[in-house]
Amino acid sequence: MKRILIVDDAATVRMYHRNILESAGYSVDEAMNGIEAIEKALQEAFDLYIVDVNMPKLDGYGFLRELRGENISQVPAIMVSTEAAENDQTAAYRAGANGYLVKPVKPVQLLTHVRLLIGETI
Amino acid sequence: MNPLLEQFLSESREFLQGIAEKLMQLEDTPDDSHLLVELFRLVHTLKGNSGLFEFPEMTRVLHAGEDLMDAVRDGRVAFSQQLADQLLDAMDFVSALCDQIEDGGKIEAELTVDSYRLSESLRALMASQQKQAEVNDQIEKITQVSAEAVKLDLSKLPEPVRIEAYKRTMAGESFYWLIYSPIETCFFQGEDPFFTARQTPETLWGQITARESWPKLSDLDAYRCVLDYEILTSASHVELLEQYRYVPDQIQLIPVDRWSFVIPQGDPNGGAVYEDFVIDALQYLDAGDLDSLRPVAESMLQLSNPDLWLSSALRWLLLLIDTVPPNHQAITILIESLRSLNAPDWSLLKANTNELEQKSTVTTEPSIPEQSPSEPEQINTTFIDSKELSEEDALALETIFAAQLQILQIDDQASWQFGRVKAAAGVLLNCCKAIGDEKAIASIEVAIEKSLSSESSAPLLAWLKARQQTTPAVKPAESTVVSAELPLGLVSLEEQATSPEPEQITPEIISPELVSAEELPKFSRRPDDMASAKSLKVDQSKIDRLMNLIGEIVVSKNALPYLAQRAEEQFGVRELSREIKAQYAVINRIAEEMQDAIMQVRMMPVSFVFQRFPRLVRDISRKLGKEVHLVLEGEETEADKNIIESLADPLIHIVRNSLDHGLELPEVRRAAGKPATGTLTIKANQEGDQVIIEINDDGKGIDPEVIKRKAYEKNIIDEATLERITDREAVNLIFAAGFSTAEVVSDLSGRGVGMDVVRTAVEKVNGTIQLESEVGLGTKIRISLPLSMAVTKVMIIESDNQVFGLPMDHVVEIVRIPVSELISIKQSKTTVFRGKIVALKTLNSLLGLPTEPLVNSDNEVAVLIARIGNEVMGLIVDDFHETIDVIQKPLTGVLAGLGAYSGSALMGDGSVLMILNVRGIL
Amino acid sequence: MAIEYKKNQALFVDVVSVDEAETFLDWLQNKPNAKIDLSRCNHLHPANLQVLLASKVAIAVWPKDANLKAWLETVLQPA
Repeated sequence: MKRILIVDDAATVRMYHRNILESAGYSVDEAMNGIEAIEKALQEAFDLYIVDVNMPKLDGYGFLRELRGENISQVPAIMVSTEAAENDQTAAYRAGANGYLVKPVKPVQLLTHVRLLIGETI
Repeated sequence: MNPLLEQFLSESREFLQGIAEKLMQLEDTPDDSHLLVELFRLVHTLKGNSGLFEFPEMTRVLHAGEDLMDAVRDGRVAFSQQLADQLLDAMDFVSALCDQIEDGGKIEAELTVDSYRLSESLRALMASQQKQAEVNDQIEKITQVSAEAVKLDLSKLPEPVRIEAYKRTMAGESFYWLIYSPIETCFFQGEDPFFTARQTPETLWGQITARESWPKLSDLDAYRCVLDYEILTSASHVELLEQYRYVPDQIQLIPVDRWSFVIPQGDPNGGAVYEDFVIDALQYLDAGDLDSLRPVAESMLQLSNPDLWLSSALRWLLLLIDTVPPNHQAITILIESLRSLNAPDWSLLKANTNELEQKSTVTTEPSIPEQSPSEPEQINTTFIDSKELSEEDALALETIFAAQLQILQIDDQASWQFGRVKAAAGVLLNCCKAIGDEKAIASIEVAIEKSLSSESSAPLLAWLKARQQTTPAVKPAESTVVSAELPLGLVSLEEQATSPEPEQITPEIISPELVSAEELPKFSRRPDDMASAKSLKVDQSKIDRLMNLIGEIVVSKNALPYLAQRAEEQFGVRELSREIKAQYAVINRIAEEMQDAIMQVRMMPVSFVFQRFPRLVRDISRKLGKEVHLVLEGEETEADKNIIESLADPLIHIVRNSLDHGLELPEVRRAAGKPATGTLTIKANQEGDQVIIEINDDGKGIDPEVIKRKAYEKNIIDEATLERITDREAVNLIFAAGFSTAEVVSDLSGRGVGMDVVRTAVEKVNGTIQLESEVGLGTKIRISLPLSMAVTKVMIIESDNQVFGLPMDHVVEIVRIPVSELISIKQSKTTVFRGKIVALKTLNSLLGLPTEPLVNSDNEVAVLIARIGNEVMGLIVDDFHETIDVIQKPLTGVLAGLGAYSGSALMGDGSVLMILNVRGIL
Repeated sequence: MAIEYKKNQALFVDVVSVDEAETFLDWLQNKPNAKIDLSRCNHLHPANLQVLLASKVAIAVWPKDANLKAWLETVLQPA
């Protein structure tokens, strides 16, 4: 079973994403901020990260930079943000995201991205 | 309620609390940038959460709040008291919405307008340009949505209106079709939608339509708005949004294409028989001879009845002919329509125009060179094998490829650049796998290998480019943010891929830190921390159920000693009796631990109640014009949830009283030689199995003389008491029923409710309350509460052959007193106990039992010294038994009216123990 | 001035506010053959308009106010 780490400070958003992913047969873990996410990423090899931008302690950009820069994990990451602007998107890619989705993310949209990024037959 | 919504509500409340706290902290330190960032994050996250649900009212207000905080954070708007007030108001509104959602699952329509007003006023605090940008954004959204949702049919407009509108579009004006559907309850909000509609700027035409058929007059609800308004206007976006600023969610704005006006209408008169005219007309048109076409059409029109469909079409035809420049294609379509008398199909026209426009766009953009990539033979990419993708999947795939392209092109020399490239490479491979394209998989694997070995993104970029050339462009119709990027990215890719030496961009990609970083990861594993951080949110009702079950086990296990006793005494098996007792000891220990554990779960910090005080004190003191510094201490002190919850109302009342009557106005304080700012301290700490809450203020204190006089006037004390009562006792009279010191009931603390309500609330959970005050120096109120109320320790006492439970909280001592030491004063008995006179009462007489209390062989009576509030009394009973833990169940039905008992409890042998309400009987 | 009631006729004057609708509705229920004179009316709250529409009552005189007349003609039938 593919493992996905949801990194978001909002419990509601985590639950929302978890519901979508679990109903599609993924196994999900959660982290509340970038620091916690890094700790989890060091412990376990996930297949995908779904990362919020604005979080306390260490934000989504910081987390992705650590992930990529410290060679912790190079598996795909999707950044989810409330901002649709191009700048925000570029910033996400710059930090190390591979996909960018605008909140609230539609379930179908999320799952399509997840399947493609994880490499599961669609 | 679904769990996601529940989660949302509980998290929202946390956030709202956090926002309020941060705002108040900011009032003290307005320059704290860290606080600003935090505040922004909270509002932002809350808004994001609300977006998961259909609560536009909430999202709207939060969005405005978020934008405002963003502006404050960036220094564009200064933090001010007014700003804090407005934000607090907005958060109160959101909190009210949460309550509504919790109660009914949805938001009442009436609040929509409030939400607009609130977000307007928040936005008003921002710079005007920013506001305008936002408004435009909003319009954009409204327009976009409407255009998709509604197919416009303007045939209901009178022809002259449409002709006028058409002419004006030719003169460069543009029109909106505005549909205004006011909510049904809008009349109650003082709205007049008809007036709003009539005031729409640049209205060319408008109509009123009823949403439903009309009922019998006797059934009509005149105040339920069921009328819609449709308006053709040439006003701008901004003007229209300004006009409908309070109801933007009730309007739809549809941009009107000029061809939608061109609809011939009228009597078909037996069908189309104008073939000759059509042929002639088309010939003239083909020849470009409009001057000949015009008189033919004019004479045809003169010969025809003006009400005919034909006449209408001819009028339009003449208008089109005279339009500068004439649109031949449109004229053709109109003439063709005469053959069938069907409305002209303007979609043909539109399709062609779009095509033309597209073509022209393409030619104006820099064309993509057709040269092959630098290494075409090595990267042989074909996508013929890939299976058919749904439009959605194809769009997502292109989006992701475009993103990886963009990622691979970033060359910022960041320390994580190589990691980023590796991740993008993985994504490309995964995508190929996902679409099941074997050839693509093979080729991307080659490219990845090259890329990794050369530590360069160039092979991957080349692969992407090659793929782009061999894949039929899957261009999704809607342009999302991402797909809009695609053409841009391609152009720059071209530049890179065709650059003579692509490897040049690569050497520095790997940062030297990378290797050492692997050896020394910054974030080491700390499993202990992680384990401790886990928490679980559980529904309160589940905890309550668990607690009740544990309570039953605690009680049921008490049956075992009885069983052991019977085994020994009745059946004479001592061995079995001993084993039962041993087992009992084990179960007893586990049960006690379970009880302790569940109590721990129910424990809550007093901060739950304290956290609302900063806001409360701030608001009230401002209202009263007083300056108050609030100090909170011991917020982490824990007690049972029920206790904490029961504490809230009394505490609020006390705090309000302190602010209202205790603390003086700044000038009064100064005159009295005190600092202008008063201090209110609320302190919690644990003493044994009690939680002590102290509320101190350095206000004017309570004058015992005033209290005494008042109490006497109100018949709370008699003259004798008035004489001998101590000052300390006097000030505590404010807790007596019907006592209120304020001459005028104030808006804030009065409300006709006195401190007796506070006392009652505290006593209800077996707490006590005491007050100390010094005139001019301040007042101190001390509330003492049990840590937990779920399990009551009671002493079993016996009287007249019945057993009763008496809560241990009241038991000071149990003693046996010789009958000779009982002193009768008048009707009542007293005794001297530890140097003090203690009044004695017999339980039998209190309960109306005629029997005299038992006297033992030593001629002594059993006396239980009980404490009620601040008084000590002796209760004469027949005998004392053990103390046990019981789960007290309140009395229900007719028994609920019995003041002598506070509840009942089930004993181990199945019998019921009545728990005495000491206050009720004494 | 809002609505002046005469035997069988209701005369709308100036602006007819939301508060009038209830009385108007009651009045109309007892006057099945009532006639409405809107000549001096400048605006009426839609609650009143809804009563007019539901009752299908005859409009004896249309408003002099051309704009109001144009709006009302799209929904009210002439007598």
